[in-house]
Amino acid sequence: MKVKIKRWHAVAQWRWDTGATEQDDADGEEGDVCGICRVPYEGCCPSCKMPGDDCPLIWGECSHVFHMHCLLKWIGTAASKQQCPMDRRAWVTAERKVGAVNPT
Amino acid sequence: MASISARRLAKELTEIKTEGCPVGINIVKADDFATWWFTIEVMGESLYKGEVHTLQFRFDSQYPISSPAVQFVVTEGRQSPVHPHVYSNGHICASILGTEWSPVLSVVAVCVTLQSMLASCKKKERPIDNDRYVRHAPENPKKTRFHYDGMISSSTDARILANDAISLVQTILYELLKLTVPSCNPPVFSVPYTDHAVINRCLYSACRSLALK
Repeated sequence: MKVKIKRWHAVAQWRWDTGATEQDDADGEEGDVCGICRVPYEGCCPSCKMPGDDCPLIWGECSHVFHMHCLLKWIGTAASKQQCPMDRRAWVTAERKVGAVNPT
Repeated sequence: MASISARRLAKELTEIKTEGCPVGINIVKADDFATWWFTIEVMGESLYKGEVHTLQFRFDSQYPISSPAVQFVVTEGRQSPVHPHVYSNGHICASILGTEWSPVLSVVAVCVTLQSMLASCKKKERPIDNDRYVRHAPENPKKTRFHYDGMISSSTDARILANDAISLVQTILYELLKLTVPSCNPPVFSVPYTDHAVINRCLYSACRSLALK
């Protein structure tokens, strides 16, 4: 028997590698949103229209994650005192190690 | 208007409507993304038992990057609670509304903080500089540069006394200044007593204006 594929429809899913384990994910959806705009990491910040590489995440050395645009907006204000919104420690952007936690 | 604030506030409102407010906090009105009202009540034993106060939140288009303007409502028969950090015009001296604001905070988080500020109060009294502050206070409390004092209700605290003395000096100078320079600016409110530079500037400009006359 010969099968001829006439048409196919691919579906893909993506998500940021936030270093969160499967177990962390099971704890609830709360951890999956940007603390500043409350939009999921895989969504985009309120200033952007398309999620993805144009609206990336930013990691702090304190381990907190935000939409980069949201965090930069906050850090750009004098009121922020350049502190992480979560723990008020001085914000230091962490070197991003893609795949370091999850070598796949 | 799809501003940052509108999107974030819409999310907060949905959350409040689906999950409800914490005990003692109720939504009065949130018809737009500019002004919201909540009632707050301290549950259990406290100096504010049986009192219901109304909190007003005003948001600008940059919320939550910029803090909301929060105060107690003192019109329509509503009163501000008598508390060492709450002025009779409804303005509140709380660090999270000023220098300690963080964009991860929310309207409900602010309500809960203020509720616990009332719950932990040991003595019902107005701030020491209430009359002076209320006389010159800006309409929007965000325009006030409050001095946050960690210790509440210790009226013998040297810092408060020093601050009060400075306030008094400022008020006298301001009154004097107004006689000579009608267009002068009101003094800086609640200057930390360590901020000598501000006081010196104030004294210097006052003396100069008086000397000129």
